Amino acid sequence: MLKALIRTRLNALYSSFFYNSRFKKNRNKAFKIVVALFALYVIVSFLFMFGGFFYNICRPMADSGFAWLYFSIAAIMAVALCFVGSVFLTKAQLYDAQDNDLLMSMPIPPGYILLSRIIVLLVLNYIFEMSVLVPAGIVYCMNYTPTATGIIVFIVELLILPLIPLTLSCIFGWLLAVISEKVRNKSFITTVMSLVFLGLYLYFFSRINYFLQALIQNIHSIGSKIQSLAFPVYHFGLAISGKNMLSLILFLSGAIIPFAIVYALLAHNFIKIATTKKGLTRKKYKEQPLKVGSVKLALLKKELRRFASSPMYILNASLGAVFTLAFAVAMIIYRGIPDFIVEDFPQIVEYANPLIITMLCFLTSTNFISAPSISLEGKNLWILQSFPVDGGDVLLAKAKMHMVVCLPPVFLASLSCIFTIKLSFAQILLTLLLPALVTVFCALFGVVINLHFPKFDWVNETVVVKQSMSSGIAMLASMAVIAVPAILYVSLFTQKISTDLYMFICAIILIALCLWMYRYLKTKGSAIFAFLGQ
Amino acid sequence: MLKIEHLTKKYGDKTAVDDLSLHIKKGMIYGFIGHNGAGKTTTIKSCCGILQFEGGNIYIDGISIKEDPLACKRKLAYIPDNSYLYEFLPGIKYLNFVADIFNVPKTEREERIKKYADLFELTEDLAQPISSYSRGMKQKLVIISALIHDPKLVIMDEPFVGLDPKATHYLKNIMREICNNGGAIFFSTHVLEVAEKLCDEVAIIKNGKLVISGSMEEVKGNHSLEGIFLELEGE
Repeated sequence: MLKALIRTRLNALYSSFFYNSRFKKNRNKAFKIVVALFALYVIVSFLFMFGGFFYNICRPMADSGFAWLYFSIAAIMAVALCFVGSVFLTKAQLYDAQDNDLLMSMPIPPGYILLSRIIVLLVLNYIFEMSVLVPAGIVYCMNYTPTATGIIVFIVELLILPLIPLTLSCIFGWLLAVISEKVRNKSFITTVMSLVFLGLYLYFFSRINYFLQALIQNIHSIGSKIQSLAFPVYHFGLAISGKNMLSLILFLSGAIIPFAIVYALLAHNFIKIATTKKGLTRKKYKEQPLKVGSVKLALLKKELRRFASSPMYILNASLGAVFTLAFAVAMIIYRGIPDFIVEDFPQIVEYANPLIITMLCFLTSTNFISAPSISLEGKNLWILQSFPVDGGDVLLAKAKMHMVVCLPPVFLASLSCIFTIKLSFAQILLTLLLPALVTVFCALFGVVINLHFPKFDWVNETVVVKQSMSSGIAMLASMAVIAVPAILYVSLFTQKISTDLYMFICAIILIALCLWMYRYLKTKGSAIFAFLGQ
Repeated sequence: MLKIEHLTKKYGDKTAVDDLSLHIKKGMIYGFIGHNGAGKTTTIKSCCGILQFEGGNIYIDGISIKEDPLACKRKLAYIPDNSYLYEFLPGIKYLNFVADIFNVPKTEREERIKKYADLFELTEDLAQPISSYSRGMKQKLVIISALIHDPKLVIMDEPFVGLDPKATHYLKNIMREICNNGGAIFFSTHVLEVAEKLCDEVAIIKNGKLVISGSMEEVKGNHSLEGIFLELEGE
């Protein structure tokens, strides 16, 4: 039974990538190879990134007798990455899945339902964990000869360590579920909480070099703090470096026992949490005049409400807008490019405008709000299809929603650059135009791509937003729109045309592409939408 | 009001609806009966312009759904066999959204929402998000939203599922009222007693093909509709 449940979860995960909902068949081999190659690229990038970090700290630590701290730090990083990578998924997977009612109506122990979901989360955690611990292990082996016992202990710990972040994310997910029972504006609160959390996370990683230096300088005091405050990771490091069996047992106990307790508690309360209706007082409707609006405005308002109703959607698909706002604020605070950057890279002043435009374009290209918007209609698709609205207007409303969310931060950031950096008239025009055009491009492209890669048979909306082919392609293509012209210019055109002229040419190409996509959505797109999901 | 001419719809090799022709006149409640998988929902969805079909044509008030689907959709209302709605919207926002889509003037939309929400005892819950609604409440909301633009033709797929007896009674009255005002109703049902009492005409479909159609008296004669249906199904 448990096997069948796990198989179903993994199948859902697999089909989110490889099943074509539009034509109701699996995708072809070539498509799977492209996805596999991309996954490989991401994994290799992670391995090199963490490999570089561990290469810098391995010898200084191990030579000062702190090999255990090296592994403990690797463990802390793995736990942090796993937690951040899976925490947003945990609540959605454990408590908000659409098939909760169906599964709980069957003779399946609730613990099995929970366990099947936890196992899938565990698989994801292994992927995150290995991208940190494998390079840490390889770097250590490059510097020192490992013993057989050390390797065995490392493998055992590798298998057990993800239980720690999983325990933490189960508790966090459970807390969110409990809070969401009580709170009315849970979507807003969850979004704010998650943004604060993400801000702290980014703050830590932006200051990683400072922390790295501080770590090596204060190795003794940090070591003793980890020893006293984070005993499982302390024993994690000690067990590998000292081949200390007692430490191994203590680490295993520190990882397994809390997980077992949390699992038992969750299994006990699973039905209650998954089935409890909101404990809110019923809001009684008081008759009031209704606002009348146009069809296009009604469609746009509906899209915006859909977007605002899901913190997961906001946090994953529009993070670029938050970063763009942060960029605008930073430009105002530092009154242009910060001095510490100019000191390190003096030549940046000469290329300030193209660099800033590229950065703004890149930030806005990371938003992919429109890319899952058709798929998110899910079982509600019949509503729009049965209404007397042009499919093109429906599709454009989705693109407009993307623009309404992303364009204001982009304009704010552009204005902050214009007022803080000395620019020519042409550069001012470009600073206003190009990032806005990229935003429009991403908005339209997301809808076009989702029209061809829709997925309506989802169990949880997380699958559509985070793991669907449409979102993946939209993100990659949007970034390619920035990277390809930049690389082309640097490698071919630097001596031939000015950056301003080159950017104007890019703007014209973008305008042409946007106009083509607009026309496509109004004509062919409209026809495709009318019969989507058949 | 609704004319189905030689409708043929295939899913791959399987013919779901085979050369079906029906004519639903103004002022008529038309029942559509058949076993599960007979092709009722496929026919209904084709009539509403949300399913492409290979053969034949469908006319709503003389307009071909193939040639001018939007004009057809403005004249009709569709009530599906499920109650999937925008769970993130409060009931009143959903109704106002539908009213905007159909360009219903302010006064009329307010009057109709009040009239039908009061009738179905849903007024107090209209501020609540749809996600908090029960199945029956969602079904009532779908019905109200279907009536908000005063449609000439209402196409319903199993409309009584999930409704309490009181709401069922009111819906039957509304169906008759629409027909008395010159509209028409085309609906599928498995509740043969309801069809027998309510319908002016009826069609029975089996494996995508029309088995029999006509006025209730012509179809059932001296028998019950259930008896006729079971007899035809057994053939």
